[in-house]
Amino acid sequence: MRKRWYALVAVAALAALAAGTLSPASGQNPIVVGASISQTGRLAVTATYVLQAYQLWVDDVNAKGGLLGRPVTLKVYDDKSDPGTGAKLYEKLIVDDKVDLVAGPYSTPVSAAASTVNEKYKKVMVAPMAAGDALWKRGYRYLIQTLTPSSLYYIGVVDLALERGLKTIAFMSEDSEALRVATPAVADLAQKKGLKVVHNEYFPRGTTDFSAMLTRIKALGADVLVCGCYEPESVLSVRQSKELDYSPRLLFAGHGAAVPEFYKALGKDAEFVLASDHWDSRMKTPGNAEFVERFKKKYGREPNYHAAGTYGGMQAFEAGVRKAGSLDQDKIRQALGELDLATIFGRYKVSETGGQIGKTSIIVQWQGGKKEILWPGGTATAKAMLPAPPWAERR
Amino acid sequence: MPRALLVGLALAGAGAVPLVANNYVLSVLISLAMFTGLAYAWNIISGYTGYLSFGQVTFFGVGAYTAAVLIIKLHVAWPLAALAGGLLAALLSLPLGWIMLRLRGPYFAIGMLGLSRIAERIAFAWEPVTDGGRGLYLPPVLDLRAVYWAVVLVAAALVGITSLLDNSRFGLRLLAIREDEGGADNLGINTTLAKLQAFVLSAFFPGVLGGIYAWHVSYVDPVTAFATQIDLTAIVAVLLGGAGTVWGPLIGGVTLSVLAEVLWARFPFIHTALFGALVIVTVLFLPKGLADAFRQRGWLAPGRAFLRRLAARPAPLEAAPE
Repeated sequence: MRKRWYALVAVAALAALAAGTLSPASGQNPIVVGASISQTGRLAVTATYVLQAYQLWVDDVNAKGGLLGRPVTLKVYDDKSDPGTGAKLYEKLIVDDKVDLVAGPYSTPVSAAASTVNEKYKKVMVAPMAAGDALWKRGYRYLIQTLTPSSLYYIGVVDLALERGLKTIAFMSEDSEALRVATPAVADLAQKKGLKVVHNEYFPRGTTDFSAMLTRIKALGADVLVCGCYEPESVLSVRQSKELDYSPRLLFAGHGAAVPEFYKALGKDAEFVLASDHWDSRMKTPGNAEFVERFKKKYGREPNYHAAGTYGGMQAFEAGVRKAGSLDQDKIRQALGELDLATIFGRYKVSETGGQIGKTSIIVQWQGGKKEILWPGGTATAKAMLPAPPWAERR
Repeated sequence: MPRALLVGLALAGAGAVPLVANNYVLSVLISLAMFTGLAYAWNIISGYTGYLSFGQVTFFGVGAYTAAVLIIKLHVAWPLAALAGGLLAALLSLPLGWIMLRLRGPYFAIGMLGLSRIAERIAFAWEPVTDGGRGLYLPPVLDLRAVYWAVVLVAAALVGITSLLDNSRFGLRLLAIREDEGGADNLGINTTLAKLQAFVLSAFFPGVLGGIYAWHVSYVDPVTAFATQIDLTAIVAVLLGGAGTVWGPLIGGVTLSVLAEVLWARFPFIHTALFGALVIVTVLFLPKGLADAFRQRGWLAPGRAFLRRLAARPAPLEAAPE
């Protein structure tokens, strides 16, 4: 028995040695981009999109002749979906591996832990998948956001309502940090552009009965109803407005209404409902169609907004490095602060803090069982079917 | 006394590491000491007392959140906040232990797992304090040395406490409960009290370590503060090293952490499988852990050295210290 045990140890040791010597040969002194990705653990399924987008970006950059005349390679570790491990791995990437550029992990918790390490070493990190505006209120300088900030989640609704001559708007939103930012931003814009805000109410997360709120809003006769909600609330609020026979002429049901499950749950009642989404494969942003095609060819599956957001974030990073003309982190940070760029994911522009201010959500509408893009205008795939017919007239 | 000298040298050596090591080495050592400490804490209730717990992470999470809230809202210095995290975890473990320790065997194990899931749900739902799923952000830690010293101090304290426990009447009581609880009861041992004492010890230290963790990572959210993975890593460390021994958790914790750094970073896609294989190999070939294997080769003295010497003495017997 002892012999077998030794054999096992020997095999493991040999394997470790082999892995050490077989790491990519680096003749041309490549630029190394380091990241930790949750390859195992609870975040792994979505995180593979992020990793694949990183790899695709590396391929594309190298096909164009590299960055600053040098080829680019990727060094990735697995953080096991654990922020503590993530922080440790960024220490390793920066101190031990001395990578040239640092890209973000997937998920807000791991980004939160990793950003502290990067801040310590003054390493710019483009964090493509960190949501939560709180991350940019910590006073960090080297963390760059590329996802849609909460304040720009819903603003497209105002233009769409005004185009159709609608006059009044009502809000009911989940009481969360993101929507406490998103809703007032739309309300302000509405007021400024001459749309009257008649109601604005917040409900606690997990609310299932919206009838009291909807009855009040119905009595006010609001033309536009904006529900700041995620998946279960999106379905429930639409279903209950039908039950109460409240027919807003524009019914917008938040990010939760953009997922396929929303249509599955509501069927025909989902028709005419508007929703917000981060990205769509049909968006007419520069290079988007080619990105979708290359992603499908390389990985055999459709990219989602996680992949597109990551790729778009790396496009911004790349532009920042080219503008800076060197790997000097402060120069790159400055360049990233000055850039105003159209990526496949949408507009990139950050504020002083590194928080995103350019990227907006797109507004979509369910038409004949399909999502059609209505806003922004340049990327629309169909005309808005508004005002929505009253519930009683639908078959 | 050479033993005291040895202990002093080991402590001084561990304490001097930050003077030469870079931050990456330090962060590896912090997680090594953190998991070794958690392994020691688990060893008291599960290794010595035989109550296998899959939910000690509850107290880790409570400590993490307590420290985070104290630091953010009351600007308490972090070592004090971590200590407060430990104290609250210990306080909470009194009623919880009183209830949970009525369960035995697999029921206790599953019950503790359930407890940790409930704790996670509470952290999600109690938004005014925990900020729900968004988590709590702490001020950034720019100097890892203090964190390192704190974790090493806690781990060293646990080694000391375990070696005292191993040679005390209290430790014998716990072992008696592990071997035959009914029998121990019949011999006049207050098993309820002894179990509760062990449980509180096994809750206090994870609480302190949770507090230090929150400070170190500078972010706490429900899923990571109450992750079952934290328990599993500690359990595997104890199993690998040897449950119910003084040196087992140290041997297991160090071996696992070193393996993690040397091997797993090179096999990003299969390290979970390697982890599983390690557990199987341990259980099949080393059911008593590495500490036992080392003992058989004479590299490690048998446990309970003081009690053994006491028992080997002709007569009269003196009482073992409490």
